[in-house]
Amino acid sequence: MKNNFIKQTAIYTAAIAVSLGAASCSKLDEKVFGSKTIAAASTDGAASANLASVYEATNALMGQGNWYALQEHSTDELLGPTRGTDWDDFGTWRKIHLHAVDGAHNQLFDTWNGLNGGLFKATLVAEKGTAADQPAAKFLRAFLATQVMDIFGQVPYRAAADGPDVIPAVKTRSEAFDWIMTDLDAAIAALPSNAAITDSRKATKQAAQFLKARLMLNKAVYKADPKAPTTFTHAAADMNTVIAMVDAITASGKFSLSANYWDNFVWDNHTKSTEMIYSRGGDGATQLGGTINVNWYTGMGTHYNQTFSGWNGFTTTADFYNSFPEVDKRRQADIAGYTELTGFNAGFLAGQQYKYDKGVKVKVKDRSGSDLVFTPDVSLFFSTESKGIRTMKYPMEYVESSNSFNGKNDYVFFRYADALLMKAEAILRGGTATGGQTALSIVNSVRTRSGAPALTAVTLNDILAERGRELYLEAVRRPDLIRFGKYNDPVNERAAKSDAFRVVYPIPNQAVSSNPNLKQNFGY
Amino acid sequence: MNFSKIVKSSFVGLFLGLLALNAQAQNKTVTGKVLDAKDGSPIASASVVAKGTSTGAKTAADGTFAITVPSSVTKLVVSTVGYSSREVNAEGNVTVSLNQTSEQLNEVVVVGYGTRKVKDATGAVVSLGEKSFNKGVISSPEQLLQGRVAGVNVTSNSGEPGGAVNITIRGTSSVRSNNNPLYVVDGVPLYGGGTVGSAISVEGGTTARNPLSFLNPNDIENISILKDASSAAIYGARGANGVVLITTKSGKGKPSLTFNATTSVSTTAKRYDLASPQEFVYGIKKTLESAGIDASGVGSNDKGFNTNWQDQVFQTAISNSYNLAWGFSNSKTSLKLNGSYDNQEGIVKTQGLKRYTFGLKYSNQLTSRLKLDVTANQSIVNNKYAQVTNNAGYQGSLIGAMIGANPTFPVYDANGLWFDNQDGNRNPVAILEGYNDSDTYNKLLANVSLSYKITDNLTYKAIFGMENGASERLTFVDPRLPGAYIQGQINVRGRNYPTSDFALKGGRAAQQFLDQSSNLIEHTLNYDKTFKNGNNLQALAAFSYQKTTDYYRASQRWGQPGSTKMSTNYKDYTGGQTVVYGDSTQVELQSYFTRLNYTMKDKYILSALVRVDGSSKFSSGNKYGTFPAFGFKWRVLEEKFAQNTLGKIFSNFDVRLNYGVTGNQEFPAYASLAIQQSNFSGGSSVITNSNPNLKWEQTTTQGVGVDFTMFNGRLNGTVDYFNKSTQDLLFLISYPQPAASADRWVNLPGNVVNKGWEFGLDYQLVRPAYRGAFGWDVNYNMSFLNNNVTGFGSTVVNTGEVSGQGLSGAYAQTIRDGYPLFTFVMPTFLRFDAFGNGVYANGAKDELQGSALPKFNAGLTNNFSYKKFTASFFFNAVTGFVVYNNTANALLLKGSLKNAKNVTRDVVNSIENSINPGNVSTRFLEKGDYIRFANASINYAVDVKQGSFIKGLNISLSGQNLGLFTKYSGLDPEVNVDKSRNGVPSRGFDYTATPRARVFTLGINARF
Repeated sequence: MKNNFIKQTAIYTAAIAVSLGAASCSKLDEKVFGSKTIAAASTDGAASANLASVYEATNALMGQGNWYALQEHSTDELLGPTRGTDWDDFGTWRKIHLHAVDGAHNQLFDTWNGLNGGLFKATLVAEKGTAADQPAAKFLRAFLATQVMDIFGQVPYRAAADGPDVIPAVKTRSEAFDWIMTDLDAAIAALPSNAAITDSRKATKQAAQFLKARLMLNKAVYKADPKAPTTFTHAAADMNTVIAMVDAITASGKFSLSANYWDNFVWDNHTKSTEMIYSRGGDGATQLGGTINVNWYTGMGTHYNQTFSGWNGFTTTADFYNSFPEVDKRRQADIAGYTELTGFNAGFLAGQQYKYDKGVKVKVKDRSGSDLVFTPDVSLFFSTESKGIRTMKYPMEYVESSNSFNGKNDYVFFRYADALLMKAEAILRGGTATGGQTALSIVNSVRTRSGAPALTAVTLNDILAERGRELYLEAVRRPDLIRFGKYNDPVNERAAKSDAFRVVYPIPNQAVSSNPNLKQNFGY
Repeated sequence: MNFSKIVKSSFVGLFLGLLALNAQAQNKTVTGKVLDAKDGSPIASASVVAKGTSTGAKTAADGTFAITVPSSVTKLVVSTVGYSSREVNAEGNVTVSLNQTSEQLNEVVVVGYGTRKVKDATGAVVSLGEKSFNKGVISSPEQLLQGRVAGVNVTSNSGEPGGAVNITIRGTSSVRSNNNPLYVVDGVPLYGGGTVGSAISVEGGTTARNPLSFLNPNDIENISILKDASSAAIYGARGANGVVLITTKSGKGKPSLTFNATTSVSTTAKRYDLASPQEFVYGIKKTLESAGIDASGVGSNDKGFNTNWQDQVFQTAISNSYNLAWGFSNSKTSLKLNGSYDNQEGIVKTQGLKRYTFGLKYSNQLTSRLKLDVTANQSIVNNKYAQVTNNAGYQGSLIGAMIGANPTFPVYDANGLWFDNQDGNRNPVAILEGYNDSDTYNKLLANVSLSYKITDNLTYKAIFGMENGASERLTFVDPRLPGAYIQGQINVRGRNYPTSDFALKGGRAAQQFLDQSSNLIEHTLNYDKTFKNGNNLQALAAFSYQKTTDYYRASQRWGQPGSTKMSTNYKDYTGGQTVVYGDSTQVELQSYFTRLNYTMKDKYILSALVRVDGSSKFSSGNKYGTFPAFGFKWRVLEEKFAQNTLGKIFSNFDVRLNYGVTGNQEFPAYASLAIQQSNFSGGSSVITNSNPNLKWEQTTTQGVGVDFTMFNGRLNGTVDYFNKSTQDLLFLISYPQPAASADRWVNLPGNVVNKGWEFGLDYQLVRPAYRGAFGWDVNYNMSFLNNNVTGFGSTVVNTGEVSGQGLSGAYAQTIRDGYPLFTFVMPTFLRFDAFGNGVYANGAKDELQGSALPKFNAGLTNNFSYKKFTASFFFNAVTGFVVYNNTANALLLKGSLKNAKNVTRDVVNSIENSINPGNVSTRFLEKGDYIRFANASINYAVDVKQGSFIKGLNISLSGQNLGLFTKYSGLDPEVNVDKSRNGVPSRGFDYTATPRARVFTLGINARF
C-alpha cells in the first residue's frame, strides 16, 4: 500500500516534470509588469512620455546643488565656505565660486544629465505627443534647452524617432538659439493665455513670452563668437522685441507688482503673489508632474541649532549684503505668523540669531556653546560655524503644534518684476520706450514698493545693481553679470579676475567621451 | 622588514619547512606495523607483499608484521579490504598508515551533474567535509569555509549576524556585475535573491543581507567548490565566478538520532578608544583656545554625567543553537529528517537572528530501474536590525552617533525620554530604542527527481526544483523621536518621494515585501560504460530551464493619532500619507549542454563539455552564448618510466590542464529594452536606454595543476596556476544625451585579468602510533593573486563614495587601465604644518595608491588528537591590500571635537587644527595586512558503554576570532562596507560597521 502510494507519487511527479519540461522550451522573451511597459519603438507614432513627465523633469532646476549652484555660487550672491570638518565636499562648492570648474566636476555632470533628460522627454512629447500637448512641450523644451545653451554653450539634439544607437547631433549656441526661438514662437501662437494668476504652474502664452523676452535680451551673448564670448553688442530691434513681449504680458491684465515683495515667496505665495508668470508648486493640487518642497532654500543656510535645523552651509558675500540700503525690505523684513514664532526674518539673517523656546525668545548657540552670531566676513577655505550672512528667501509655513515646517511654497521661475526690469534695461540698451514707462519709472516702481528710495536717474549699472537686489537667489545673477560684462570681475573670496572663457562652463568629460559630436568648449 | 613581508615570509617559510620535515631511516630489515591513518588503530590481516614478487605476509592482530624479502626488492605493497593500498620502501621498521577507501583518491567529489572520484577529476575542485568546517556561531554556510580553501576568499562585511559575506573565487573578475559564485544546493542552482535589503525611508541604505543565511549549517554534509572553468562551465552562464555545490546530509545506516546543542557568548573583540568626559571637555576647551575662539561657552557642553555610550550600544550576546536529526538507510530507502532552531544575538543591542529550519531528504529505489529522490528544506529566518547604515552623512548612523555622542550627557532626561540636546547630534540609545526594524524570511527549497535506468549504462533523470522565498520587513519609528531626525525626502528603491515633516510627528511605519520564486526543470541522460580494457566513458546530455520571478512592494504610513508610543502594528498608523511602490521582474534561462569524460588506462583522463545558455535578458539575436571547456589529467605514476624516478619520491603524481569559457549575465533585467514607467506623480516616460546589442560577458580560464602524495601518504598536496580573463565586460556607462537616463548597459572593451598560484597541503606531522596516541595534522593553504585591468583605454570609472559631513561627492577608488580593480586614488598626506593644517604632496594632486584586493591569503590549521580529545587551531593571514578608514575620515577629526562630538584619545592629543578639513587622503588609507587566530576548538568524546542508550557523546568548546594581529588602526581590517558609487561596487571601506565579535561556544553532540 505504502509502496504503491510512493510509486504513484513518483509517476505523477515524472509526468509533471516531463510535461513541464516539454512546455518549457521558451522563446526567452522578456515580460514586464506593473507600472512598466515596453516603450513604443522610436519609429512608432506614439510618444513614450507624457506631459506630466516633462513638467516633472523641470525639477532638475530645484535644490541647492547642480544647476542652481552653477548659477548662484559663481556670482557675488552665494558661496559655500569650508567650515572645518563641514562642507569641504571635495571642493565642489569652492570650485564654482572660484570659477575653477573643470570637466570632471560632479555637479556639472549631474546638471548635464538632468537638463538633457528633461529635454529628451520634452522632445518625445513635442514631436510625437497629441496636438493638445505639443505646444506646452515645446515651451518646456525651449525652457530646458535655454538652460543647456546658457550653461554649456552647446545643445545636443536627439529626435524622437532616433534609434538607440544614434549619436545625437550637436547645435552650436547660435544654432540652439534659433532652434529654441522656433519652439517659442510656435508655443506663443498656440498656448492659451493665463486665465488666472494661479495658472503660473503651467505653460501659458505669457510664460513663453517672458522666456522670449529673456532670450532676446541675451541674444547678443548667445550669438557671440565662442572664442570672444564677452564681446557683443545689442541690436535695437532685439530690444524692441523684449519690450513688445513685456508689453504683451502686461496687456494680459493678469499681472502687477505685489504690494509686499515677500508675498512672492512666502508659503502661500501661490495665491498671494500677483507677479508669478511661471512657477513650480509645493502643494498637491493643480500641477502636473508632482510637487516640490522648498525646504532646501532655508536649510542651505540656517544653522543646525536654529528652529528650522538647517545644514549651516551657504552664505552671501559681504559686498552683496552691503549693496542693500538698510531701509530696503528686501534686505530684512519680519513676516507675520512666522518671525514671532521661529525667530527668523525674511531676507538676510545677520547678527545674533534667536529662536523661541516655549514662547520665550532665546539666543541660539553654536555647537561649542557660544552665541550664534552671523557676521558678514567669511573665508572660502577656513570658516567657523558662524561666519557669513545667511539667506531666507522662501519662508516656509511653520506649524507650531508640531514644531515643523511645511515647504509648500511655489518656486518662482518667471516673475513680473523681472519682466519690468528687462523692459527698463531694453530701453536703456536702445529700445523704444512704450506705454508711458521709462527706464527710471520702472526701476523706481520696483524700488519703492520695498521701501528703497527712488532714484533720480538710472544707468545700465543701476539696472544691474537693482536686478541683484530684486532678483537675488532667483538664479538670474550669472546671466545678468555676463550680459553686463562683469561676470569675470573679482568678488569677495575670488580675488582675481577670471578668464573670459569661463562665462560658459565646460562640457562634462563623460559627455565628451560618450558623444564624438561634442567638442570641449573654448578655453577648457 | 614591514609587517606584510613578515606575515608572508613566515607563512611561506612554514610551507617549505613542512616539506622538509620528513626524516627517513635507512636500514634493510623490514618489520613494521599497519595502522588506520584516521585514528591510529592497528589493522589486522592486512597483506604485505614485496613488490614484483609473490612474497607476502599478513599483519597480526596488533597490526605488526615481519617480512623477509630479496635484497633487490625496494618496495612493499600493503593492502587490505576497505583501505587504499600503499607502497612503502622495503627498509627497516616501517609504520604504514592506510587510508580508508572512502577517503582520499577514491573519495567522490560532487562536480555538478554527477560525481567524480578525486583521482579522475580533471578540474580544480576542492571538497570540504564537515570536519574541516569552521566551528562556533555560524550564521551562513560561507563562514564554514572561511580561510580553509586556497583561492577562495571569504570576507564578512561586518560583524552583524546574518550580514553579507563577500566570497570571491580566484579573484574579482567582473567590474560591474556581482562577483558571487553560483550556489547549487542539492542540484538546484540558487536564484541568489534574499531578503529585503534595506529598510526604506529610515536611515539610508542598511547593510546587505546574506542570501544563504536560510540554510542550516548543521545540515550540510559537504561543500564542493568548482574553482576552474573546466568544471564550472557545466553551469555555463553562471559559472564565471566559480560554483559552490552544497550537499545536505542524507540518512546513513541504522536508524539514528543526533542531537546538537550549542551556547555561545559573544563580545566585542575591540572597541573605540574614546575620550573620557574629562578628556572630552578639556579637549574642546583646548581646541577652541588654540584656534583663538572664545571658549567661555564650553561649559554648556558639560552636563556632568559619565556615560559610556559603547556600553549603551554594545552587549554581551548569548546565542543558542539546537539541531535534531534522525535518519536511516537500507538497500532501497534512505531518509533523513532534520530540524533546527537558532537564536543569535548581535553584539549591537537589538540586532539578532532567529532561524527555524526543517529538512527532509528521501531516496527510494522504487524498482531496480527507477529511483526517486526528494529533498526539501523549509526555513524561517527572523532578522532584527539596528540602524547601522553604509552611507550616513552628517548625523551619522548608530555607530557614528555612538562614537560622537557627548560622554557628559545622560542617556535619558528627567522625564525618562531620550536625552536630546537640541544640537542636531543624535542620542545613540534613541536610535536603538526608537526604531523597531525586523524581517521575516520564509523560504522553501525543494526538488524532486526521478531517475530511470534505461539500460545498465544509460540513465535518464528528470528534476523539478523550486525555490520560493517570501520576506516581509517591518520598520517602525517611535513618535517620540525628535523630528529633526527625519526630514526632506525619503528614498524608496532609488526614487525620491517628498515627505511632509508635519506628518512625521506621529511616528512612521514601513512595510516591505519581497516574494521570489524560481522554478527549475532539468532532463539529463547519462551514459556510463567501462570497457573490457578498463577504459571508461561517461557522457551527459541535458536540458535545463529555470524561471525566476521577483515581486517587491512597499508601502508606508505616518502618524498614529493620539499616541505617544511606538506601535508595532502597521494598521495603527492612520495619520498620514501612504506611499505604495512595487516592482516585479522575471528572468528565464534555458540551456542545452553535454559533457564527455573518458578515462584511458587509468592514466589519461579527458573531460570535454559544452553548454549553450540562453537568457531572456538579451535581445533576440544575442540570447544564446556558447561555453566550451576542456580538462585533461595525466596520472604520471601510471607511466612505467616515471615509477623509478618520480615514483621514488611520490606515491601519487597527477598533472592537470584545463581551459574553459564561462559567462555572466548578472545585470538587471530589461537592459536590452526601452522600458516606460508611470510614476506616482502622474508622469509616464521611457526610463531606460535600450541596448539591443548587449551580449554575454565571458570569462576564459586557463589553468595547470599538480596533485601529489608523498611520505607514505602523509603529505597530500596540490599546486595550481591559473590565468583568468574576463572580456565584454557588462557595464553601465554614460549614454550620449539627451536621453531617457544618464547611462546604459554595454559590453565594454577591455579585460579584467586574474592570475594566481594556489597551494594546498595536508600533512600528517605526527601519526598516532596506536589508537589514542598523540596525532598532529597540519593543513595549510595559500594563494597569490594578481588582478589587473587591461585594454580599458582612457575610460576611468570612479567609485568608493566617502561618507561623512563635508564629504559629499567625495570618492576614493578608481578603475582604470593597467591597475588592479579597486585601486585607491587620492592625494598623499604628508603631515600637519605648524598651524595644524594638512600638508599634501604634489599640490594635493590625486595619486594612485594601491588596491583593496589582497594579494596573498593563507590559512593554517593544526589538528591534534590525543586519547578522547581532538583539538583544532586555525590561523588566517591576508596581506597585500589597503583599507580606507572612512570612520576616521568622517568622525575622528579635531574639527569633530570642536563641534562637541567625541573622538578617540589620539585625536584629542593630535596637533591637528580644528578648522582643518578632513579631506580624502592617504591620512586615512592604511595597510590592512593581518593574521587572525580565527578559530579554535577542543572536542572530547565521552566514554559510552557498548549497547547503552547513547551511542556517542561529544562535548566541544570552540572560540572564534580569538586574536587579531594587525597594524590597522580601525577595529578590524577585514571589513567591506558598501560604498558603491553610481552602482559601481567598491571594496575595502571601513565605515561605522558593526564590529566583529569574539565568540566562545560550548556544544554537545549526542547520538542515539
